Amino acid sequence: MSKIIGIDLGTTNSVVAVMDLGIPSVIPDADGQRLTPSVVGLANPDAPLVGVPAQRQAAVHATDTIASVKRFMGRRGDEIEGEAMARTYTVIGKGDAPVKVVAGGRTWAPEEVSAKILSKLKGDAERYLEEEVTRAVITVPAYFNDAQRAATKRAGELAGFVVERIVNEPTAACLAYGLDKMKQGVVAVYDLGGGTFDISIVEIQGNVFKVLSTTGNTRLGGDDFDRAVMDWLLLKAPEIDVSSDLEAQARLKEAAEQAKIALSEQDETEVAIPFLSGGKSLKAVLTRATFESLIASKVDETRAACLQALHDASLGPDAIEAVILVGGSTRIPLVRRVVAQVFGKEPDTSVNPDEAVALGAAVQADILAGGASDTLLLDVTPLSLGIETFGGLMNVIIPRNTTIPTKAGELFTTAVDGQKAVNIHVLQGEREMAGDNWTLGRFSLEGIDPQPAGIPRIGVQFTIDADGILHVLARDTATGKEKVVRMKAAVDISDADVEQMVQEAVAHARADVQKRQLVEAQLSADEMLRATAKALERYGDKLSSEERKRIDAAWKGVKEAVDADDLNGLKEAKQVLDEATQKLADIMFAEAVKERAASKGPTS
Amino acid sequence: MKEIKVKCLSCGSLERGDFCGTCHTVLPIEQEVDYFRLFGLEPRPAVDREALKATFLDLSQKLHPDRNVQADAETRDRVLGLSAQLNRGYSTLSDTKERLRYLVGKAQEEEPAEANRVPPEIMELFFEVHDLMQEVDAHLKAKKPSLSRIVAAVAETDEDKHRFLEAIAGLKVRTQKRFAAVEDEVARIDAEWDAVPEREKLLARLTELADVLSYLGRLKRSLAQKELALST
Repeated sequence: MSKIIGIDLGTTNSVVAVMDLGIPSVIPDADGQRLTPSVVGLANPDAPLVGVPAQRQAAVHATDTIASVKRFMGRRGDEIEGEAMARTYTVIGKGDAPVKVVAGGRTWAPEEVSAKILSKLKGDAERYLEEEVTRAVITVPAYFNDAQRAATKRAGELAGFVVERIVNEPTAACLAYGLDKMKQGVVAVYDLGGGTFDISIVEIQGNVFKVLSTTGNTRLGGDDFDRAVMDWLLLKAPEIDVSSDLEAQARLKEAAEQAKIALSEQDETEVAIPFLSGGKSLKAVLTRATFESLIASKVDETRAACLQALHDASLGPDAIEAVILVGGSTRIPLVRRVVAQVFGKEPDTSVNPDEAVALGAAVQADILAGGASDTLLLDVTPLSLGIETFGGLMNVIIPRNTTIPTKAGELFTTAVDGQKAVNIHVLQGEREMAGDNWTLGRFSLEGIDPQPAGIPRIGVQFTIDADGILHVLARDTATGKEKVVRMKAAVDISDADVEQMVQEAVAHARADVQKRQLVEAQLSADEMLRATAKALERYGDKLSSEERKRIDAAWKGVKEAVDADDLNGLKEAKQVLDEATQKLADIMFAEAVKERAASKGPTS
Repeated sequence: MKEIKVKCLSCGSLERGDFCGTCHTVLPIEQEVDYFRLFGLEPRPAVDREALKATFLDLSQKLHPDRNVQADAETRDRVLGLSAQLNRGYSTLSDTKERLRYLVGKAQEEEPAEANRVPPEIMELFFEVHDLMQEVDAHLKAKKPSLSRIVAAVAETDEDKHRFLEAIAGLKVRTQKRFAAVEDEVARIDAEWDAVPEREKLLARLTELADVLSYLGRLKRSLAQKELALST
């Protein structure tokens, strides 16, 4: 039987690894590269390019080059709007219909694009191992829902793999870390990658790795930081308009990413893009402090998730023995500071943040192949599973952080006399109202014997397997007949609809987005103005008259920009005010700490 | 503690739980396995958590799907079912509220209905938490998340916020004390368990305690949730 390889299918980069003589190791490609950029060039659909070659032609074939497709795996049309990432290709989909990307004159399901990446990695592994490879363990963000997991599994199958297991990325990383570094204790894995964020709390006891809790955000990562830098660069060069120049957007994104990476080592970096658009060049100096102010709110979101994960594990920060950093974005100094603050200790940076997940996947592959016979991973389901009940509420059947595999049975009955079918709406999520959660699917229990309301009894068994994927089995308790229920997932749409959606998407997207951005920018500007006024009233006397003047001027600038209905002008004015008030904010944070210490009084 | 043994259907030896240590096969089980039996325990109010965990890890090593990848489809299906039962069994027995409800359910052949009224013994605490939560909600409603550091700084000096955080910390300590008190009482009932032939009264009290734990759990969750919302 074929060897089983481990694959980290990342948003930005993908890595393949295999267990070699008891040690997991990364498989390099023919050029000796250990990371494959998750970029697919589809300008010629019959000869797709993957990785570096795809990146090289990205500027020329911007609309046919797909990067970060992972963000669309298992998504539906009405979820596209949530993706504020920078991209140069078209994404379509409406309502319940699955999202598709457009490239090379046709549409592609995201899993078809991912399959191209997986095929490339399969080839690399076969060349390296000198044998056919047909079995793989593929990792996903821990916070991926059922559809995102199923789409990943499908991508593996399209690439010619038998997918032996879907493993959560932070858990895989923990497996790679724990095997040689820890025998006993609780660790936190903080995984901030290109597009997704996960935090998992894992208890290691000998060779058993038991996940206690996990949470995250499947829309938060390095891509968002690049986007923030791009926006800032454009503010600095108002004379350049790249809104309809995709090549320029691609170059801008690359420059933003380079600047971000440089600022992990340096205090400032110069961004220079000659002849960016319309013959105009862009030049700006970005300091680490400004960069941090651009991404601070995004990084702050991860703080709340860490606290939530600790609460779910019923542990305090002091119970965590080590915090492992995984994912390229954990190289950012601000991210490390936030992690250190939340857990009260310096994070452990001994694992390679780009490779740990793939190495862990290789370890899990070895477990499944019967190799590491005493190592065991006990993972959890990240989201609560439930069904819609009366009044549109969600009734939780399997709570989040339940160890998988798990099963739960539920009895259903009829509401009116003679009813022959019962419709069931299955949900995933943590919100109280069914409508606020993610619809996993709907199914109908049919062929019920007509009887008075409440008499028929149909048992439905919900099973979440070790991949975190749901299976539903219905049993008529009267006849004892069992039947695997197929859930009505998103339905395929016709070609004509697709064509129309492509046109609409291109026509409306930009105008809608800009209008919404303006309203949001105005609201947050109002809040900033109020906060600044309040801060000046209390602590204005602690500033020098120059600082005071600078803030006053910036304050006026924002006020005028709010009334002018000009999005770019407003963004720039806000940035100026943000920078002008850094000192004032520092003073207030310091005063807050002092006041709190004082109000507690002397401690005995 | 008395260990319960079952007969292996493959080789006939007497074994604990659902994995035969003699012939190394997974034993077929009936649809609804008894969680206490699965862990080789007698049904009673208290458990030794450490021992329970050790048994769980030990059984997981044998029953997890990862350990039976090469088996035939039927066995793998059974393993999936057993592994799911094992995981649910462990979460049920290791959580006092769930364990008490399960125990009472076994004894009375029907799991008690979830309480929908606040148990009198924690009424006072309940209303205190409830009132505070309403105040905090009103406070939070007036605030929106912001990207700006100066907005965050102003929020940080907000006195209400710190007053709320301190009140929450105090209520958390009191909730924790109530949890501990329930655990103590469960231990006392467990000590009487074998001496009392008529267990009706004990079971009734255990049902009440499960309700108390259920409400304490809710209080703990909402306190933590509001604490999180206030501090981020």
